[in-house]
Amino acid sequence: MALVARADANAFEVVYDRHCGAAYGLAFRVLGAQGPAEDACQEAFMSVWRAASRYDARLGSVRSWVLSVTHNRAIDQLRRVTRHTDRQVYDDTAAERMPAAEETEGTALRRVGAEETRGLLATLSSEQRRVVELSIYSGFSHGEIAEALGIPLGTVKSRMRLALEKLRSSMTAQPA
Amino acid sequence: MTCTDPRFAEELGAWVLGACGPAEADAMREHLAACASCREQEARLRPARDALLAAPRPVMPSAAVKAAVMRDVRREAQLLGAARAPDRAHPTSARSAGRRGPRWTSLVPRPALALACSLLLAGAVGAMVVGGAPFDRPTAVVAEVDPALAPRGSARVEVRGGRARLEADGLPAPGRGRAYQVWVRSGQGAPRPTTARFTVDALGSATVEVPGDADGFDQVLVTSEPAAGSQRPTCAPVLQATV
Repeated sequence: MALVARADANAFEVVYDRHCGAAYGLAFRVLGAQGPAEDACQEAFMSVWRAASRYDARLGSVRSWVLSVTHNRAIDQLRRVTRHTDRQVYDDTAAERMPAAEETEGTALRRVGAEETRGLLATLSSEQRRVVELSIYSGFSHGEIAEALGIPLGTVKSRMRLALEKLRSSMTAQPA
Repeated sequence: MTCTDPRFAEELGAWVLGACGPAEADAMREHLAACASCREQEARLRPARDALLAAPRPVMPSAAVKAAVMRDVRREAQLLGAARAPDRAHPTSARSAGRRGPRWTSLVPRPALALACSLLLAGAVGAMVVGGAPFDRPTAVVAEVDPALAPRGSARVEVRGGRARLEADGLPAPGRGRAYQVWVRSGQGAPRPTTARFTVDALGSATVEVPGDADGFDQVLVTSEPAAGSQRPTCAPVLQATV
C-alpha cells in the first residue's frame, strides 16, 4: 500500500487482483445485480487508489479497508437508486420458500449469499440477525429499521450492539 | 475506563454497522475523537463488522471492470508523475506571488497541476474524437482542492449524458451541524446554489450527483455550509472543477 500511495500503478494492480473478488462479491450481495455491483466495485477501487495514503494498518488489513470502501460505495448506490420509503425490507426466508423456477438471478444469488452469511450469523437470535442484515447488507439506518419492523429505536440499537458483541465472542472462541 | 455519556455507548453498535443517520454519525464522529473508551469499544467491535463484510462468497467481476479501473489508474499515475516533475517551464505567476484577487479566483492552479488538468481534459476530448461518438462518452476532470481546507483531499467531476457527478475522497468532515454544498457557475457569474448537500464517510469519501443539465454550467464548486444550505457561499470553496 505504501507503493500505491506513491502512485505506483503496478502495485495497485496487485491490490486489485488480490481483493476484487471479495469486493465484487460484497457489492453483489448488497446490490443484487451485475451492472450496479460492477459500478460500485469500480468506484471503490478508484477511491482506494486515490486515498491510498490514508490507509492505516493499525485499523485493519488491506482487505478490510477495501471491503469497507466497497460497502460504502454499494450502499451509496443503493440509496441513490431507491428512495428508502420504496425499498422493501428484503426477507431472506421468503426467498428460500420461493420455488427455484420463479427466482430471478438477483434473488437466487442473494439467497446463496444470505445462506453463506447466515453461517456467520448463526450464533445470533433471529431478531439480532435481522437488524444486522438489514443494516449491513441492505443499507437501512437504525431509524428506518425501527420504522420498518415497528419496534422502538432503542431496541434496534441494543440488538445491533449485542449482535456485534456476540459475533466478536464467537469469532474469538473459534479454534485456530 | 467507561464513557461518561451512555447515549454514545448505545449508538456504538449502529455506528460500527454504518446504520446511524447523518446527524448521529456526525455526533459519533466528534465524540470518538474525544472519548478513548468508545474508541476502544469501536476497535473491539470492528473485527465483527469486517467479518460480515468478508462473509459473502467472492465472485470475480468482468474483465471490463479491471480494464476500466486500470486505464484510469495508469492515466492518473502518469499525470501525477508529470505534476511532480520539476516545473521549470512555468515561473511563478504574479497572482500566486501574492497579488490579491477576487475570492472566487483565489485558488490559482499550481502550474504543474494546471498542466495535469489540461492533459486529463485533452485526453478525454481526444478519446471522444477518436471514439467517433463525441457526446456519448463520459468526460472526467480532476478538481482543484484547497490544500489548506483539505490537505489530503482529491476530487473529480464526471460528465456523462449531460449529467455531472462529483466524486471526492479524503475530505474532512464538514463539522457538526454543517454539510458540504455543491454550487455551479457559468463564466464569471456568481455561484448558484444547488440542492446537493452531502457529508463524507470515515474515509472522507462521497459521491454526489450535481443537479441540473451539465450544459448549464462550466464550473462546479463545493463549500462547507450550515446543514440546511445557503443561498450564497459563506466561505471559500474546498474544491472546484471546470467542466
